[in-house]
Amino acid sequence: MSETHRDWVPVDISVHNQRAHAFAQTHALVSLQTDSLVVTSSRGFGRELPPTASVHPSFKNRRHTVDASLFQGALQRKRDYVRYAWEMVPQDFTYPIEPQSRSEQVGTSMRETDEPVQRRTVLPFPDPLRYRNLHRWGYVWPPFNEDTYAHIGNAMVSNEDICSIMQLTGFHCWYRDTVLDAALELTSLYYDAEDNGIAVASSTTAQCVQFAATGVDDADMNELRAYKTMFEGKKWIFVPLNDGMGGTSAEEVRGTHWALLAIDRPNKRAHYIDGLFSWTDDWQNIGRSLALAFGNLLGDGMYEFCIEHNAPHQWNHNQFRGTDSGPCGPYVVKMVQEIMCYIRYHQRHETEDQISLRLGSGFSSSFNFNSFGERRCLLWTLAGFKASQVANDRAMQHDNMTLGQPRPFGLVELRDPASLLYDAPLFDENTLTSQQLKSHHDIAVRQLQQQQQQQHQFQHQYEHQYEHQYQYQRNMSTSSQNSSGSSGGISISSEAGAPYIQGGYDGAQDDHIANEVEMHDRPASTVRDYDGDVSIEEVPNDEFSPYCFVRDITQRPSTPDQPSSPISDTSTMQSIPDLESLTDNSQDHVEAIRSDQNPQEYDDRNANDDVPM
Amino acid sequence: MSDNGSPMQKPEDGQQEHLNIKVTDNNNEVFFKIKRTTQLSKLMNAFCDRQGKNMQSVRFLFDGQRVQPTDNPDTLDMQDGDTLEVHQEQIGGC
Repeated sequence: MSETHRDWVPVDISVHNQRAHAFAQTHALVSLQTDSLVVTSSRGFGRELPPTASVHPSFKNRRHTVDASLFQGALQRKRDYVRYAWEMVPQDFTYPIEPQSRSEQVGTSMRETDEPVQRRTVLPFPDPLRYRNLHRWGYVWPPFNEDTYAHIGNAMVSNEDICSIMQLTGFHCWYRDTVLDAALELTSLYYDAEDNGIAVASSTTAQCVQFAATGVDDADMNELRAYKTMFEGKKWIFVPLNDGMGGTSAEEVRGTHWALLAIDRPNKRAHYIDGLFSWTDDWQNIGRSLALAFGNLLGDGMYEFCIEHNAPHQWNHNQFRGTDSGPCGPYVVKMVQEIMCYIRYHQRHETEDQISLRLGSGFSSSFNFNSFGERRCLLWTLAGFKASQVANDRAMQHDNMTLGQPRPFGLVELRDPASLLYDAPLFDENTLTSQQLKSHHDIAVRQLQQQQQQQHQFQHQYEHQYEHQYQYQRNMSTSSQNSSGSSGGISISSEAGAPYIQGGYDGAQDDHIANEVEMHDRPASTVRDYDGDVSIEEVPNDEFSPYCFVRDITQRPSTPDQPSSPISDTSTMQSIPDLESLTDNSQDHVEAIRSDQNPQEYDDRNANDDVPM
Repeated sequence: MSDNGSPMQKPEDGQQEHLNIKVTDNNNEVFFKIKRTTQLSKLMNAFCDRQGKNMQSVRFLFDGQRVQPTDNPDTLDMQDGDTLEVHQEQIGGC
C-alpha cells in the first residue's frame, strides 16, 4: 500500500473527462498516424469491420465517422512501391498495436473513487488499398528487375518490362514478347474478343503452331490439340509474327521485327500486315508459314494469302515527332486494335458478312498511329490493371477477414469489382514528365550495366562447356552496343549444328541433388529410385528426333543493318518440301502467292472492299 | 521412403505421386520425374541450369498456357507423360 501511495501521481481530471464516453455505444475504434496522414475512426459498438459491399441479409445500421488530417509532405515514392510489391510493412500503413497510444498519454494510476479505465477494442486499420482509386500505380516506377508485375490472362509482365515500355532508344526500346503479349491480351479484354469470335494468339502460341505448317498427323494433333481448341471456334485470328520463331536453344534472345497476320476464316484469307518489310519475300514467308500452319491446324486448308501493301509505314506514318527506335511493337498493337474495332463495328450493326480485312489505299492516311502514345497508353493501362487487380485481391481479403467463412451469400453478387481496363481519368498525362523519364532512364542504364556484368560472369562460367553456344550471345551484345538494329534470329549456323551435350555436368548434378533434383542418362524405365522431388533424364542423341524446321524460318531475312548470313551447316535440319507440294490445293496456293506478287491485281479486285476504319 | 529405397508411390484416387514430364525445346528433350505438389520452378531451374539458359529468356508452356513458376502439376492438372514446351524469348523493334 505504501508503494502504491509513493507511485501515485495526481492526474488532472480533464484527462478523465476526455476519456469519458459521451455516447456509451460509440467509441474511438481505429486511429492511425503516418508521415503524412492521421486518421481516426469512430463507429458503433459491438460490430466488426464493415465489408466492402452490402450483404444480404443486411447488417444493422451503422454510424461511422472518419477524420483524416493531412500533414505536410507526401509519401515517399520508394515507400509506395515497397508497400505495393513486397508486402513489407513500412512505417506508414502499419497496423497499430495500440491506436490510442499516441493521443492518450494517460497513466494507469487513478483515484480509488475514479471509474476504472475501460480499455477499448483495438482493431487493425482497414487496408485503404482495397479501393482502386486510392492506388497510385500510375505514379510509381517499379524496380528494374525480373519480378512479376502483373498477370494479364495468359501473359505475364515483369517489372523490367514495365520500365522498358517507355524507352525510345537503346537496347530496351524494342518490345519483348512479354510486353507485346500483354498489350494484345489487354486489347482482347477491352474489345471482349473471346465472346465475339475473335482470338489473339500470343507470340509463344504462334511458335508452337508454326510446326503445323508441314502438315498435321495424329501424333502432331495430340501435341496441338490445345491450340486447336483455342482457335477452332473463332472467326478472326490475329497472330503476331517474329523472325525469331523456331530458333533453337543455342540462342538467348531472338528476333528483330514484329509483324501481324490477320486470319479471316469466313473468307478464308490470311492478311499479312507489316509496317516495314511488306515487300520483302523472306518476311512474307514467315506469314505464309503461319497461315499454312493455322490452315492445317484448323482444317481450313489453304488460306488465300494477302499481303497488305497498303498498310501504313511504321516510320512514315508515325505521328510521333521524336525518335522511337522500336515502333513495330506498338504498330502491331495499334493495328490489332483498329481491326478489332472495325469488326466490332460490323457486329454491332449485324453486318458481319461485309467484313473484309483488306486495307484500302486510304487506310494509311486515317491510321492514327503515334508510337509514343501507344507506349504511354499501354503503360497506363497496365498500371490501371495492376491497381484493379491489387484492389480486388485486397477487398476480397478484407471481406474474408470481416465476414469470416463461410461468406454470407449474396456478397459476390452485390460486390462490383474494380474494372480491369484502362481508366484514363485516373492517370494524369503529366505523370510522365521528361524529368521523370530522364531519371528513370539513368537508373535503368545503371541497372543494365549491372545486369551486363552479371551476364558476363554467367557467360564466363559456362564458357568452357558451351563456348559454341555463347558465340552468338557475344555477337549480339556487340551489335546491340553499336545500335546496329540487328539482333538474334540471324546467326543460326551454330545452333543448327550444335552437338547434343552429354555428361560433363557433375557439378550441376550435385547442385540438383541439393535441390531435390537428379539427372539420369538412362531411359525413363530405368530411372533409379530416389527420395527427391524431381529427377531428370536425358534422351540419347541417337534417339532424339528434332522438330522439323520450316523452310522460310531457316531462311531468315536480313535486317537493314546486317546482311543475311548463309547457314553454314544445315545437315541437321530436315528439308521441308516445297509449299506447293504440301496439299492437294497446291495449285490454289501457287495462284495466291503469284497474285501476291502483283498487288495491283488485288487492289483492283478489292477496290470496293476498303476498310472504313 | 520404403525399406528397399524405392520412392513413395502412394496411389491417391488412382493418381501416382510422381509424374514423368517431358520438357522439350526445339533441340532437346529432357524427362523430369516430379512430385505432384512440387512447384514447377524447380523443374524450370533444373532445365535452365542443364541447358545453360537464363531463366528469364525462356517461356514454358503447357497446353498453350504460360506456366508460372509457382504452379505445380496438381494445379495444372498434369498427367503422367505430359509435355512442357520451352520457347525462347523474342524481341522486335526495327
